[in-house]
Amino acid sequence: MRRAFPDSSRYEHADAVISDFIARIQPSGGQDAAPEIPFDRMMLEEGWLRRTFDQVSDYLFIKDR
Amino acid sequence: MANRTVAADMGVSSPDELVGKSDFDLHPTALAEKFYADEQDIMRTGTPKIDYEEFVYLRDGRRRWVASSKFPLRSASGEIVGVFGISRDISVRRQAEDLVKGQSRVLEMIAAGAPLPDILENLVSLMEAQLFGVWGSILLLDDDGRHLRHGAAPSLPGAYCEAINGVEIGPVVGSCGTAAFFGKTVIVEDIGTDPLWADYKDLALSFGLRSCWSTPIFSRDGKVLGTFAMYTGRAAVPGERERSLIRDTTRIAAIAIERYRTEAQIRYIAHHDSLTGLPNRRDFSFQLDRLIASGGDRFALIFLDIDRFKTVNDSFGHVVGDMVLKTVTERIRDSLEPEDMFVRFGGDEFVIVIRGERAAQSTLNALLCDISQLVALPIHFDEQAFHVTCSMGIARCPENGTTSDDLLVRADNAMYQAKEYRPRRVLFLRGQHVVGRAVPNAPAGGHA
Repeated sequence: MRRAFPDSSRYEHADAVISDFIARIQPSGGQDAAPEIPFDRMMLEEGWLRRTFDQVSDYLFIKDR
Repeated sequence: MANRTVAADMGVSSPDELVGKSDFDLHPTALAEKFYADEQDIMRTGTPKIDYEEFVYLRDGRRRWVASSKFPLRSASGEIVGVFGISRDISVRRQAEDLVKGQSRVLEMIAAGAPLPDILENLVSLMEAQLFGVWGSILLLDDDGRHLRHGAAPSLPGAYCEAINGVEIGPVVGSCGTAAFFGKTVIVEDIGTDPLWADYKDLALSFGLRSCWSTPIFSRDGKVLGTFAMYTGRAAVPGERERSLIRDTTRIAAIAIERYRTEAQIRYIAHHDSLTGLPNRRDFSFQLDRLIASGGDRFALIFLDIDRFKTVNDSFGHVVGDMVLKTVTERIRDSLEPEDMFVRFGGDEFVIVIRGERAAQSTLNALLCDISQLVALPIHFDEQAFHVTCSMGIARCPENGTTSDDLLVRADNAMYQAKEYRPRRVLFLRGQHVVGRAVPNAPAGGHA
């Protein structure tokens, strides 16, 4: 699943940003494989995360355990 | 962490202020527990939850509907360590859907003949759910066209509704009384300063009501049926959204009220005599059966017939005949109590039912003498005066019968015997025997 809202036809730019984001934080191989950008690295590169988040007018959030 | 959109709705100036907070710090407990359960499930199963609808409460108390998708977040080793979520504001779509669904529900209630107060309350609640900090009220214009009565106001204080119930409309009577009087929308931005509210502002302000926008509800033929008002707790005027809801609400309210009044009119016509306004035979049979079934008070049933009424019709015409029936009806009605039954049974025949202590022989005799004398008073028409008399037969429940048919037949028979014996007599049934009693002091009959 690489799109947050499969039927969405609005906010195309935001959807592209989010789709890319989702693709990079989810494993592309098996269910338990590491994603391209794992959570620990994501938090290290907070600037990238913040830039990504602030491009989007939807509500975005990350919660850890 | 969260983005600026989340921070703004949570009432903080920067997303950084949300770092380290949990849902339990930001949302009502029940909502936080739901979020927690959803997200624990995603982290346990590793399965994203895609595009589902939920709501959040904003800092000012408004509810916002969102479509949410949530994904598990993994560490470099593949272990699930958190959740990423995106929520998209769908309040506008959701409100539009809720409005359409709600309006359909109200229209179904109207079609199904639901009670008018229930329909109007649903309608006002529907409008209130669409707006924030707005309370609705529907007032109904009385048949006299001068007073407004409570219709529905599910969120306004009961004491306020009670205080304005029955207010007489006029040119300076708050928003609703003025709107109904002129048949025009009245927008009052500030109740505290608007002259239309001079006599009512203390009352409204004491309940925290500050602005009131009232619109007349019109029937299809342009008559004012009532008013629909929106109140707010701060000085304000309606925007386009509010105006749109006012249009929708008044249109549906008009359908509901007109339908209710038409049905009430049909019910009235079906159960009342159009000439005298008395209940008719159909309504009486139902009422009498119910009275008998209740097994309560003893009662006397009086069958009354105007003597030689055909002669009146033949000699003076039906216009005079109708006037005689109306006059006789008014005279008899004036001598009865509200709890008595009085119906036009057909033609010149009437039935009266007297219950309880007043059905006792001596009391009843006095009442029937009064009726006989009142009926026989002169009737003036076109510079002429003439008299009619009546004959009455009486049957008692349970002595003379315990079914409506039995009682009517026996009272009818007694009345005919009275008429044959001599007009203006009353005959009582005592057991199976007719007992005659002349009506004392009754004036002699005239033309009839």
